[in-house]
Order: sequence, then structure tokens, then C-alpha cells
Amino acid sequence: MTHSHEQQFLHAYRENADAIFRHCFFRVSDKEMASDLMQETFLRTWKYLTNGNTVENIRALLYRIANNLIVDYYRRRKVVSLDGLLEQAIEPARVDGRTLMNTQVDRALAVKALDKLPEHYRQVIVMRYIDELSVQEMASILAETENAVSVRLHRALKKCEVILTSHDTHNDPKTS
Amino acid sequence: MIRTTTQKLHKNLARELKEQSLLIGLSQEEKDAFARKLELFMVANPVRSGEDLRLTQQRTLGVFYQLIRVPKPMPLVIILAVVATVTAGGGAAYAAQDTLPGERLYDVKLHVNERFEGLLAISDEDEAELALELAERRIRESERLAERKELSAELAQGIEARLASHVQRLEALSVKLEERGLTTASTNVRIRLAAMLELHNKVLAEMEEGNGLQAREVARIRSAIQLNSTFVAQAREHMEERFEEQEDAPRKIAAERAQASATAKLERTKAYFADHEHRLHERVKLVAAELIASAEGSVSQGNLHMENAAYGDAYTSFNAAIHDLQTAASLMATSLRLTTDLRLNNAAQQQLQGGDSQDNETTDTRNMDEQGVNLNVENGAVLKLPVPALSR
Repeated sequence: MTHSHEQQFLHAYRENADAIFRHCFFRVSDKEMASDLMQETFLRTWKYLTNGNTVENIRALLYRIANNLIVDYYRRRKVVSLDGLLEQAIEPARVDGRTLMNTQVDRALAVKALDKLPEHYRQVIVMRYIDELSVQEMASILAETENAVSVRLHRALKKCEVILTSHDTHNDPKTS
Repeated sequence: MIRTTTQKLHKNLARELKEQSLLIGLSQEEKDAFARKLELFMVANPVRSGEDLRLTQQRTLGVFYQLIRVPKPMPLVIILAVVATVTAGGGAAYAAQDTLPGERLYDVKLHVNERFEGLLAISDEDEAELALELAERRIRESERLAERKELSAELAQGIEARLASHVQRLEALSVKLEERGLTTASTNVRIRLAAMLELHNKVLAEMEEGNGLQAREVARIRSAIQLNSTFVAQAREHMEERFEEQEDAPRKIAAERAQASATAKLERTKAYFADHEHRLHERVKLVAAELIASAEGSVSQGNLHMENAAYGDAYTSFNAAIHDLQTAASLMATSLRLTTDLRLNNAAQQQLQGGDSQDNETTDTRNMDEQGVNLNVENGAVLKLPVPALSR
């Protein structure tokens, strides 16, 4: 082996830091908190590795630890709007006033829909569409069956659809 | 046609989310800064010498790594415990059962006995039950140490950390149970955790006041308990809101499950009371009996609500019963383990009655003054153990 454990773990950090940060960000709607959670994820993962645990998939382990930290976070969270945060702090969401027709989904509205989802639905949407994890990987990370994950994902999408449709119906596109 | 439209909508939603997510990221400076922190952390927490931790990279769906490691050597204390267990028929593990932090076999209790208990907890429900038991065990250890005047700042710190870890585990399991649709089981563990923490907070309040030398350490444990109680209360409120949002059919199922759980716990608590009644101090016996009677009343009330299809009210009544029963069970078990009497006085009570939920207690129909549970005892001390009201 040419690299030390530390170097290899740093490599794993560089490969996965952005993805874990994004995952945390879209789950907790707070950039600072997402950064803290990402850091804590890597520290705990290292401790886990040095504590005599066998790991087969480091990426899955990182998501699992991040997920546990987020669950803890939600026990003591403050409610912050993801949508507002995106508009104010990071990158202005491009609200161009175009009409939502049939299957078109405005980017800002996509984030709004995510923001309005209950946490357990937001979790699977973020994992599937932002982290691009397979249902099999999600099931492994969440310690649930693939069927349970698929059902929740389906319900989450339905909920998104309701939110988007409702927005489309109740808002005048010219003023949005 | 509708299906196709829905599929397109989902596809576009997914694409927009992905594109939006790519706008989010850390700057290179931020990443480098944490990489340096991580390096320092790894130096401070190295892979133990003599261990072979191999990290081999395997590419599959993305960047995948596989860590293959030779099992690390067990800490000496565990080897000794295992040897002792094998050679002496479990003597060391048995002897470790009642040890306290700071004692020679305490590590065996934590790393052998309790890990073994963990292996036996197969379902999430079992694991939650165990986490609740371990959280209470940690608090009882602090009470026994305080009673002996052996609760040092260092031991209190260790207990505090372990308690937080058990409560966090319980919280995570409760969320998991809720996500699996087992709302009643999830609520049940939270209510019992809240009842247990409230009871011990009162017991320790009494100790803090009457135990000059240990007051600071006891206050530290109480503060940890109160902090954890806050998280439990918030989470329970959230769950109750979710129950209210449900439709009639799932509400009925949840109420039926709470009914079964409260009824079974009532029977178990009554049996425990009957078995240990003769060993309980008179005052504790009266309070425990009152709590059990109150729970019995709540169960009967819940049954009536069920008959009238008032599932929300029934659910609340059964949960109130579970709360009372857990308080009674914790009180009896605590009393049996401590040598001094539990005598919660007015000052300690008032200290705990600052919040809104505590205010409700004074108007609770289970007025313990009227029912003769407040007893003036020797030296002017008053035993008062009000039943904490379930937030409604």
C-alpha cells in the first residue's frame, strides 16, 4: 500500500465532501449548519473506522452517518426556509415568470416544493434526485426495505405534484 | 395520458432539483480549511498500532471504497471479563451488574453486559426499550453515587455523556418507528422517557438540596436531564400534531394500539407493585398506588372514549395512563435501589413548576392534596409527587 490510511481517507473526503454538504444543505436549509454537519460526518466516520468497525461501502456509511446527524438536528431545529435561503444567500433562484404549463417545473418552484415537504419525504427526494442514489443504496443507508423506500418516494413525488399543482392553480403567473 | 404527464412532471422536477443543487457547494478554501482540521483530527485519533486497517478502492457505481480490517484486539478488560465469564460461569459479568462508575468492574458492565443486552434486542421496539432502560440505569447510577457522596465531576461528566447518547439513540429509534408507521410505539417510548426523566429530575432535586457536598455534581446531572426532557417534549408535541392530522381510520388503529399498550403496562405495574409492596417505604407505596389508580382511571376513561368513537380523546387518556405507570414504575425501582427515603419537598417542587405544562398540574383533576397523597412527615418535610400532565 503506497498511501497511508489518513491519505486515503482524505481522498475519500475530497471525493465526497461536496455531495455530503449538498445532501445536508437540502435537508436542513441552513448553509452553516450543513457545513457543520458535513464536517461532523467525516470526523465521526473516521472515529468509526478506527473503532474496530468493518465497512464495506464508505459512501453509504457517510450518508448513513450524515442522516443520523440530521435526524438529531431535527430534534432541536429552528425552521428556516430553504427557498428564502437560496434566494438571499447563495444564488438567486431564477424566477423568470414563465407560466407553468403541464409538465414544466420552474427551478424556484422545485425548491419551494422541496421546502414544503415533510422531513421524511424530503429525505428520500434529496437522496434520490440530488444525491442520485439508487433505491437499493437508499434502502441500505436507511436500513429499510427497498419496497418501503419506493413507496415513500412515490408518496413524496405525489406530494410534490400536489404542491406544484396547487401553486400553479392559486398563483397568477404574471405576478409570480 | 395522465400517467405520462405525471412521469414528465416528476422527471422535470428531478432535473430542476439536480440543476439547482449543482449551484450549491463549498468553496475550495472552505474545503481545504476543513481538510487541515481533519488531518489534525486523524493525527489525534490514529488507527491503533498493531492493527491492520486496509483501505482498498473499488469502483462500482461511484467512488466506492472497501475497508477490510483484521478485528482489533479487545481491550484487556473485556478479555478478562470474557475469560472470567467462561471459567467462572459468568461470575464476573454477574458481579459487574450492580457496579457504579469508578468501580473496577464498571467497564465490564458497559462493554460486556450491556453489549450482550444489545445483541438480544433484535427489533427496533426492543432496542428502544433497551435504550430507555440504559438511560434510566445511568441516572440511577448518579443517584446512588450522590447518595454515597462519591459523585465526582469526572464521573458526572461520563454519566452525562452516556445519558445523552442513550437518549439520542432512543430519539432516533422513535423517529424510525414513526417512519415505519408505528406511531403508537414511537409515542409510547417518548412518553415513558419523558415520565422517567421528570421523575428522576424530582428525585435529584431533593438530593441536590439535601446533599451539600455533592450539590454541584447533582445539579450537573439534573441539568442534563432537563436538557434531554426539552428535546423529548418538542418531539412529542410534533408527534401529537401529526396524530391530529390523521384521518379517522389510522386514528382508530393508533388508539387501539395505545389501549393495548396501556392495558398491558397497567397489569405489569400492578404485578410489580404487589411483588415489591412489602419492601417499599410507606410514602412511596402510597404515591405509587395513587399513580396506578390514576392510570386505571385513565384507562377506563379511554375505554369509554373508544366506545364513543372519540379516538383522539381515547389516545390522550391511554397515553396519560402510560405516563403515570412509567412514573410509578421508575419511582418504585428507584426507591428500592436507594437506601435513603425519597422525600420530595416543596422547594424542589416549586423549582420544577416553572413551565406552562407544570402550571397545568395545579388544575389537574388528579389533585393529590384532596386525595391525601401529600403527607406531612417528620421534620416538617412534605412528600409531594404530582403526576406530570401530558401535554395536550
